[in-house]
Amino acid sequence: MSILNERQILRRLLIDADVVVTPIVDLATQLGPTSLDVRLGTRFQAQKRSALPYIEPLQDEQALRADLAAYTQDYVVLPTEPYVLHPGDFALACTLEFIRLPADLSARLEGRSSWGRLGLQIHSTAGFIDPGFSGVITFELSNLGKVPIPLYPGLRIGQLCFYTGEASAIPYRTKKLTKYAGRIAPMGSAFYLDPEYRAIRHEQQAEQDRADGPVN
Amino acid sequence: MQNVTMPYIERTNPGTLPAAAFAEVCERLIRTQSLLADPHHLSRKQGSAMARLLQAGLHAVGRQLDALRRPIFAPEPDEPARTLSGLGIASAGLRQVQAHLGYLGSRWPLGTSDLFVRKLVAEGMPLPVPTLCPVDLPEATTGEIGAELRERLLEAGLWTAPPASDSPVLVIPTTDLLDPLTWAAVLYPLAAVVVERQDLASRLRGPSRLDEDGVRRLCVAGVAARLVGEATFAARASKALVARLGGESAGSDLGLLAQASEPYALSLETGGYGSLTECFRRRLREQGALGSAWGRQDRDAEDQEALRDWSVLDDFVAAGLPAPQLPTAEDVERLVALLADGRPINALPPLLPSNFGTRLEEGADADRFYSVLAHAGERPCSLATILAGGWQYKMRHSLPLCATLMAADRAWNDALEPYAAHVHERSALLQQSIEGAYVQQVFTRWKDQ
Repeated sequence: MSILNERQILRRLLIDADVVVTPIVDLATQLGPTSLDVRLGTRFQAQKRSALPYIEPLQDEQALRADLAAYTQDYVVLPTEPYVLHPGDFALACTLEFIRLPADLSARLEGRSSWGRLGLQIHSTAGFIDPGFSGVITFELSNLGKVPIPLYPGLRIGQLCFYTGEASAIPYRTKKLTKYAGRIAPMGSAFYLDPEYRAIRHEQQAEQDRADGPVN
Repeated sequence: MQNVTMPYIERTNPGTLPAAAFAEVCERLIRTQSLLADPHHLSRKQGSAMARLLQAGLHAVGRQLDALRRPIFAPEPDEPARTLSGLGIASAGLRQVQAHLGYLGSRWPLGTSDLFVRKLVAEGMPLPVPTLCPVDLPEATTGEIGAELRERLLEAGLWTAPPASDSPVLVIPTTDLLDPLTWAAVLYPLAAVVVERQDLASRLRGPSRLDEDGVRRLCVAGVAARLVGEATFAARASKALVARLGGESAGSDLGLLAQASEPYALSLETGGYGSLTECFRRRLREQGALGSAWGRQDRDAEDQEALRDWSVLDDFVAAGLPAPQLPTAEDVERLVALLADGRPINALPPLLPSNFGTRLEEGADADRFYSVLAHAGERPCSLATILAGGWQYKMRHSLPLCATLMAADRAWNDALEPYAAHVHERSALLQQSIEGAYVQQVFTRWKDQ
């Protein structure tokens, strides 16, 4: 696995055209030696406080989605208006760019140091982008600093590094059980769709049936 | 994305209109379903109780549409009059459900629709930026809310002064928030505000032989077309088509439907904007073809008179508003191909010089590399371009896909779900396109100064 340099990135974007990153507002500003800066989009999903004690992942999906919605608020922000991320706040946002990767290329999302120095973290766990990904990349924004950070759409808050490898047999779009493929807006967690919860639910039901069953 | 096997619907005509109308009603059903499934109101008692009631209404509409699949999409379809009448029942039912959306007690975020006119203004259109108000009431105002409210109060015997703010407040149907292609219809009441403020109708009244209301309507249509081209006609026509279906009961006035669908057919035309006169001439051509097929009276003399007025209006409008930045026919093909590939159309790919690859290989030092980049910039799309691409895609891919799915021997939900996925993807790609192009425009314009 090797990392693409700026000319290789450009070749894959413009000549082979098997990597899609659009819009690219200014290539000269965004291309680094081995990276391409990505910008903040216009949509945010903020978390808010709720009267719910916790989210029960084993309840039915519709009720679960309603519970999750009680904790979130969606916003679309104009290019001239900031979304202010206060100290300790967490919000989802997404790249301005629509991104598509071929089966032989993966990418890694990294922050930019200027923002890191203010305390802005742009992802907490999901920094790796699978081969075959298509859609916008979700930012998991956290303000770890002590001052509110105004975030305007279009700001370059992240960068992508591209890695070549052998083509995957199950690129992200064709992989089974993908939860976020093709998303074009920030999407809240779909953790409850993990098959493990079905197994737990199944086991809970079996325990209940055993408890209710005839005693030998 | 599923392959489209049906031939393109090149024109709406008596044979294809029921299929197109069916797709329009389906899309409204799909959007209403999405609103009802929004977990934000499901998290409240009032919202979830109302959602259940309205879901039952939607199921009834779905059953009616399901019953019309065979009569419309079979190899030998039923008479259009009968199937359109059946669609009218579905459309009227859907309108009833939509009229109760306000009972959910939800706050509807404007989302990308709030950026829509702002982008047009940022492109250089001298327009007041409106405030959009999502409403789904049968008696909702259709123009600028403030002006209509003052008029209604005056009828009641109360006079109110116009507010100091010059920002018009316009209605957007809640279900339209999810489909950018319908947003162009908002430009009609906005155009009415422009016509009113610039007193355009009275300036045209001299040369025109139409009556006062005719001149005003002509002016509004002209200004609306000047803003984003024929997408505004297409959006308005698709709304009129469904409204007419719902409003006209058994028997379906075919002439009325043909009239509603005329601009819809017009939007199938590929090509540039040219002038309003050319737009209108094409519209007349379509009208002639449709009119004879639908048994309409020949209105040639009247139309020719309107054409003369349109020509005069052209000069008036051109003096005050820049021409919309519409795509070329080649661009339209690229835009449609991008959407069909599941990609947004915020920009067109760069036109690279033939030796670009060689120059890139040679660009091993910074100076040469940056000189290569000068030719590698994307071409951001205007709002008119995005809407034109979107409407063409809808005509060429969405409607045939709907026909293919509905003609197949499968259960209603199995036919509707893939179409809903297609409609949601199309809307999401167009929203992403508008947002991306707007932000790109802000930064590119600054860079160019």
